[in-house]
Amino acid sequence: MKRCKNCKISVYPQHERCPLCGLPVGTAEDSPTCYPVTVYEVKRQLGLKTFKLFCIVTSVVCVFINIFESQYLWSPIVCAVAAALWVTISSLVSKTISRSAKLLNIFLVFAGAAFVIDLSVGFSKWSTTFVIPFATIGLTAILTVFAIRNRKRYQEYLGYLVAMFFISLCPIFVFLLSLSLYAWTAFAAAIYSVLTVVGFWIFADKGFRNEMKKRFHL
Amino acid sequence: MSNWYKLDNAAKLFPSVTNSDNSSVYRVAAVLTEPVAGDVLQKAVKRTISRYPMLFIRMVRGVFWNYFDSNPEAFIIEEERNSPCSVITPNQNRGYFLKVIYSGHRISVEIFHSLTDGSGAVEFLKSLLYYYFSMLGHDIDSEGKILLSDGYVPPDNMEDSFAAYYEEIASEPQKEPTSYHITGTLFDQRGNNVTTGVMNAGELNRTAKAKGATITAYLTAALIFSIYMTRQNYDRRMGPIVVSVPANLRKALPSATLRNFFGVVNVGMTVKRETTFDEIIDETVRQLKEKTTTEALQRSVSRNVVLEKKLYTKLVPLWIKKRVVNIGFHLRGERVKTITLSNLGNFPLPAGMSGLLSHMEVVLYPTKKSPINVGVCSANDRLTISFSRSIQEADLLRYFFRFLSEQSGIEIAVYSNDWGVQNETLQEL
Repeated sequence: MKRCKNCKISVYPQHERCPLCGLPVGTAEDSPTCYPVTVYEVKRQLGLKTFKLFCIVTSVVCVFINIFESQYLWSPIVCAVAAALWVTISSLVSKTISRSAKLLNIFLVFAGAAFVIDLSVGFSKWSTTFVIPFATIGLTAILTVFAIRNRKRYQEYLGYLVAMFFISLCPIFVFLLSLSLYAWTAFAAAIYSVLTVVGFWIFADKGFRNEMKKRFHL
Repeated sequence: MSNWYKLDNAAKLFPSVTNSDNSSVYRVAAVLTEPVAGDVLQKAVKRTISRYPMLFIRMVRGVFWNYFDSNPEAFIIEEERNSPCSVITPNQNRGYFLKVIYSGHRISVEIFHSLTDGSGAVEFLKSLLYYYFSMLGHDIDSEGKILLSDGYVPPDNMEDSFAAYYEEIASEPQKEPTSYHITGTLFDQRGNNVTTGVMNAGELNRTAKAKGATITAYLTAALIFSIYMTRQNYDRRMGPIVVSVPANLRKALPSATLRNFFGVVNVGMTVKRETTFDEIIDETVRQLKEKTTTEALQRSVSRNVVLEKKLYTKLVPLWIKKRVVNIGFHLRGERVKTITLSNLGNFPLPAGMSGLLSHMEVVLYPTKKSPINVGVCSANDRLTISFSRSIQEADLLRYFFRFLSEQSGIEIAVYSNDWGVQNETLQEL
């Protein structure tokens, strides 16, 4: 054991310097208390950071030009598309979120972008009438395929299907608020989602009911 | 374990407050006298798993609450390569919220706090060490001090003791003043520096007893005094110095659960220039006695649980609950404490195991508002005090160990993982 004269404390042999004050205490030797040389992973992600900066710069420049040079409000479209692309790419490269979560993120951000674009070009309600309900159906279908292809682990996708079930009810409320043109697209999304749940109820039977019991427990 | 079960009261907190600044992952570790054999350790883990089904599970997101479910994936141990108490990302850990890590002479168990508290983690580590040493050929009598994997898990080991001890009370608002907070410069590389002081447990116990205190009270007082002397004395920011001391509720409220069953006792005072160390000890002893009576702990269990029992709380979707809990954690938890000191106490080991390990370590995770935290434990009559920190400044540690050594006359030896200090290998991804 070494001794730090400054701290008046013993120091384990693995250290060349006192861990408390940093003053030299002698040559490093092996010790049972040694920690391994730590590998610090530097995530540079230069491409991602460059793209993020590009999105921000583009959005700011467009808003700036739009405010001072144009009567027509077009910059929100650029901002919405930039945000959608940024979320899409960062979700796709993420290693910490699941495939289903990536898809849900992309769906939400593109649905939002479609709504903003629709609003910016006079709100003819194409986003709320067609894009969002059919995107809901599309994503529910993709998640169903994932669950069927991974039958043994279909439970992993149920949470997202439950989320899609609630999301698919939103177009009905949107229609009731007169923010979409036709009722049938809204109801189509909701009915598709309900039928998906019914399908799981029939095929997965008891397992599905147990899963639902877990997911909705109070 | 084929069934699922609900999260206990403490377990519900951690998923809401976990982020890159607050991993909610703590470590219990054993430093052995011989280098660790990874292949034997993997076999020992496999043998131990069946006794601790509450640890080898995955946490699934529900609509109103998260829940624990069985995990069909194989559990694999790993060599240590990250800073201690790093965030556990279940997607990169086969869905598990627990890691068994080894390097050199050290076996570490890192656990996301939702699974269990320090007592459960220590029991697991002891069982793991028992099977590890047995598989190496050592003939060890467990002496009733080890939970053995004999195919049976008593139901009371799986109990939600918070629910069992809950008594209906009216929820009462708690008003605690904002405490003094330690600040510092974050490490360039995100990670935790762990500096451990090793000393004789018996000698420290005698020193504490001579002052009329327990080891926990004595160390808490030393910590308050050190924080004042190194920080508040100079920067003049106001507020009491509050040490958050996790309390093992099993001692007051009988329970054999291996899941979470702990409460938090905040001990603190406003220190002035003329306040002496002995006065701080007296106040610490008084507050600890007052706040750890059976009645006080029972009340704290009920106070914590009462809100989650309300129907309106249950019916709020999880994503909203998470945000509300996060705000509550900062207002009722982080705002009112300066530092956490967790003393897991003495680990009783069979005589046959004592000679095979040098000492144990407990490492807590630092948080944004509490960038230095302290873990204490003892085994083999060797007590370790491990400071984990996310900031560069080591002035508090230096003062604390020096002060402790001078006050008690005990020989203290320190070592560190030197995180943020020297030579990390940089690996570009």
